[in-house]
Amino acid sequence: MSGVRPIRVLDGLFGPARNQGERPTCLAFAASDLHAALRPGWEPLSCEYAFFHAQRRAGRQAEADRKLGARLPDMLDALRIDGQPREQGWPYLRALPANMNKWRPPVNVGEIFRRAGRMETGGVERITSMLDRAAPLLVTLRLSTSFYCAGCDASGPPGVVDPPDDEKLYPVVHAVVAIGHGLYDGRRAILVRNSWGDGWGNGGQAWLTENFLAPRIRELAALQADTGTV
Amino acid sequence: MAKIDVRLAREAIAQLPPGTSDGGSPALGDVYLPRSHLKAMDLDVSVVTGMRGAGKTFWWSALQKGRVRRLVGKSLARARTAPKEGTEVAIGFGNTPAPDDYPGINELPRLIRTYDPRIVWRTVLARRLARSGDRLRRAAEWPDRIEYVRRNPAAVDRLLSERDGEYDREDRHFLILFDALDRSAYNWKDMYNAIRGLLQVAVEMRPYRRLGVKIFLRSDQLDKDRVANFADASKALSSSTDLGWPRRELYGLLWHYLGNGKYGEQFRSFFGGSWERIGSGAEESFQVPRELVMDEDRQRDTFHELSGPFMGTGRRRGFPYTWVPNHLGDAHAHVTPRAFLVALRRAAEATSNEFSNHEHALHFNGIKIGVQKAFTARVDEIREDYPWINSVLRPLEGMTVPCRFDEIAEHWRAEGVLQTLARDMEREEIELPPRHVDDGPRGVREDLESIGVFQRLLDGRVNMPDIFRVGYGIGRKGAAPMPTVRNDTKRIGARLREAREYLGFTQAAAAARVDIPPTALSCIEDGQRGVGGAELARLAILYRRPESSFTSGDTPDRSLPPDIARLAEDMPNLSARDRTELERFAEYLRASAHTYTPLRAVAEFMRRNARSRRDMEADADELRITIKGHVAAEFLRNHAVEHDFIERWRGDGVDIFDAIVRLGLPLVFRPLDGLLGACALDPAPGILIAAGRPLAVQRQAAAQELCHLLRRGRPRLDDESLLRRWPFGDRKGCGQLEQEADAFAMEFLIPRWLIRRHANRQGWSRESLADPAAAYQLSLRLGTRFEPTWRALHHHAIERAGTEPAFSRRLVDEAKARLLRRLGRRDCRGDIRLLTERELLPERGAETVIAGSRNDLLVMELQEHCGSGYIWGGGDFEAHGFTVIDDKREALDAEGVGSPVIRRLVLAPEAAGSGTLKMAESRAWNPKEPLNRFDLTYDFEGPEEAGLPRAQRRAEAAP
Repeated sequence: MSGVRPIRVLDGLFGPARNQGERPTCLAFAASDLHAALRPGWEPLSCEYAFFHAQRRAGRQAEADRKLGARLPDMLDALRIDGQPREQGWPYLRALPANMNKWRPPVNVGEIFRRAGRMETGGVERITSMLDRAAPLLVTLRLSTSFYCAGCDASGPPGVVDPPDDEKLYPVVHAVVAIGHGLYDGRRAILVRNSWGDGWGNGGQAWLTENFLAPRIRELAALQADTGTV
Repeated sequence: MAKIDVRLAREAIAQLPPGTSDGGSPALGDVYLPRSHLKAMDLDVSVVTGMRGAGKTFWWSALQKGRVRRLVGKSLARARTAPKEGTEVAIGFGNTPAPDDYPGINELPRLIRTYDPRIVWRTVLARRLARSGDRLRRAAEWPDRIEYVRRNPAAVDRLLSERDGEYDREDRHFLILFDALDRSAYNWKDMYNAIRGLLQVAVEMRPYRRLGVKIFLRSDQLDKDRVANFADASKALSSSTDLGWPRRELYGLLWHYLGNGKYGEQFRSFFGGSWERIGSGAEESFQVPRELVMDEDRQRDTFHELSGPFMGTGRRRGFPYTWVPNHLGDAHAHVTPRAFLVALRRAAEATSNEFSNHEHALHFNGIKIGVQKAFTARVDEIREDYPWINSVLRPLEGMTVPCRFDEIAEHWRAEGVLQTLARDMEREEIELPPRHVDDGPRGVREDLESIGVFQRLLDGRVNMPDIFRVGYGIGRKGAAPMPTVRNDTKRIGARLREAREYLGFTQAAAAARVDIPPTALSCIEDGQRGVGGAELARLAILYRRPESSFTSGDTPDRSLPPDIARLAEDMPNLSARDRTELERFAEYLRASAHTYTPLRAVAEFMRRNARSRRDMEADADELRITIKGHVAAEFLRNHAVEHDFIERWRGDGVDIFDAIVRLGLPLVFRPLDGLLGACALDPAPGILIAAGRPLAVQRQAAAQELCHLLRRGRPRLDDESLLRRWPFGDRKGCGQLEQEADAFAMEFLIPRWLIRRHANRQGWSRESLADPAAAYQLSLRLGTRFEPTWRALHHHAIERAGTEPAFSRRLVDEAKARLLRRLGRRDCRGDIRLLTERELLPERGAETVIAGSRNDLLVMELQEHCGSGYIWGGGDFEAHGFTVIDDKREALDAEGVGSPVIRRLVLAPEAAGSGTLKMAESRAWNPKEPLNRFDLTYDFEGPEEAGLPRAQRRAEAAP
């Protein structure tokens, strides 16, 4: 990719990019993919299951909550306590059922994988040091215009998000997985994996310059050791 | 608003730049981009017109500068092809000599006479694109080059095609600019030929993807009969655009200069808003925030901080914000930026010299002095463009206007003006005389009208705007007697003009309908040319009158039918104008009766109801039942259903005007003073409604008059009191027929089923409709006034919810104020239309229609799945003439990750207009698969103006 010099990239741990569609499930996708990457081989895990339990823990399953996304602490609890099966255990739903009472996991979802996680503190520096230790991270961040296209409009190289300083932030928080770091035009940049399909950025991944990422980071989280299976 | 020091402001205004271009390269700080000019910069727009001083030469020169192109490209809508810094810009013709690039002003006129002008321009273009060593490059003289291009068309095509391919590969554009074309020839005929040839080249260039032509023309150079009379001319002209300077853009320009001048920082803080900074160092510039240009109320308040609020000691003398441009306008109300800036600069100087202790930066007497100085500047400008103007205006010194044209013609005759012009032309002292000088004094008059020096009043007299009148020592007076008609041609012409204007057809529309050029119709109406038999027959059909009404020597019968005359007598306050309009309406009904055929059902209905009226008068309760069950229901059954209205309902209200037209009844809008509506049965049934009143008022009046007409009550004259009457309101002093008409209007315009449909679509419950804000939005969708809507709602729906059916005018004001607070705005002159996703999205209706006026604000509140990558886009608001006043997102959920947001777009129409906005919520890299989409059809044409209903006029004028 023109202008980017990768330093440490862990994309080998992940399979093809996934697509959350219109639902507010980016956090479930980021957490599930991070979880799946830490397991041997690439086997996608059920985002639906993780999202369901995160929302259940937060008490956000009423009709009025159907548009709402999950919170990071609830998601970490869900992965640690409720775990998640393989994707085919409860395949992702394109839309929630019309009756929210009918939104519940199938009786037999198969083997459940649990994993504890923790919130991390710090910014781009922390992300790069974790990546250097081969630990991908879950990052939540505010978005702004340039992220949506990630270079698709020829305003910059494809797959690079490097906006002007004064780009206005949207009042939305999004979740991605940081999977690599490197230099873009001599400046630090982080490679992230998104859940908007492979049309976004470069096959679903893009480099976020420090200029973009630093002021937008909200929370970081890492997953810890495997807590076993059921 | 931050304050600004008076002396500092005065100094800054006194240092305003001249606002005109001599063709020199402008600095970035001089570049202000009015919205209409921005469109002109689109590479796909080949023809740009504008009056003198509008900015043609400025843009011609500015576009040659990379930084300016970058600024323009940044500001242009995505849908347009923007010039970029890397665009290669060449000059095809202009004021600056460049003999190698194009023939100079001494050579070109000769070449235009000798060769086909198309080939001359093609040579200029081809030579500019030729590579070094090419034959075209080597030939030393223009005639040789032209000959080469003439003899080798295929080689030139190949060159253009190859170069187009090269630019395409480099992802660049080539743009060639043409300006100052009045210097291309010695007379109008040659100049028209030159322009015609150039337009042909522009059309030939359209297929090339990367090669563009931009031609800057004075509006009077684009005489379509002379320059666009070749195949495909419309292709070049379809995208032509005019460099206009509406008032708010003039003030926008003023803000720009002040915000970028010596005290720019202080002024930017004084004006407020967020000024975008572009460039750096000497090339630094701050861009005026668009909302400071679009919000005229704010602009006025700001300017009045500088000028004081009045043009004297009280409001009687007018307000500086409007006074200045009003006095600087020509007959078309066009103001040049130069005159505007000169006026203010001189006003500041005069204030410094004579009123230095004044509390504001500009004293009103200083403004008057400044405006006088600007008159001189404007006269100098027009004199440069039209050197003959002195010869025709000097002899008028000492006259007063408005006056009959004969008086002017007499002065010209007495002074031998036309002979002098002819002699000067012969001696070639005047290169470009008045275009229509060959047609004698009337031709010169037409030319003076077309360049905005003369203004033709409705009664045919000539007036002159102050900006030219004062400079030539011509006085102003009040009314003068009408000119007398002298012969048949003149009389027929005048009657044709009157008939056309009565129905509100423009000259262009009428001419197109009867398939003659507008200039021909203009000549016919002026009596300079007779009207042919076939032309007259076609015009008579369009104007709905027998041919004899134009040709007969009889005076038209304008007597009022006796019952209307009696009604008029009983209205002591009826103005002379209203009486005249009633007489004209009676005359129209007489003349047009043969062209209207009311539906048989209407006559039947009228007959049946007339028979039962006596019975109804005996029993008021029964009357009410009959009103609601009978009249309105039957009407809706017969017509609304017949028109498919219910099935094709798109979220709007019942179109009462369309219903009247479809019933086959005459409906005419005319300017009225005190009258709001009238209906007549004799000499033929018809409805007259006041033009220019708010649409909801016009609709209510039309519905009520229709009921009177159908019920064969009596003819009616209704004034404002009609608006106070409404069922379930105060019924004191209201006769049964009025009650009936009022009930009919309500039942027709605000039927229960329609309220229900709107409520379902919007998700309004009975309780939420008790909120005046919902009732206000409902009234906007129904196109009805708030009070009747509120009362009907209480009658139909809310009463049962147990709320008090109280009405106060404050309700609507408060509802609007609440909305404004929510939008963070201070004021809105019109209405605020709040459109939510529920109303707009397809599952609730494939298309939404809204109607309103250009003063309205359109607010869209859309859920945006931006946590999932979907963003609302499209709309192409700029191309539709909307300004985005606000574009904000609000979080729906402060805690969750990835939750959607509410996107709120506030749009203001820049002008009256209609069209369809297409919006989609999609991912940036995959626009073809949107998550949501909708079409919003808008009609912001505003109230009906004088003439037939707008829709009918459009339909009838369609060729």
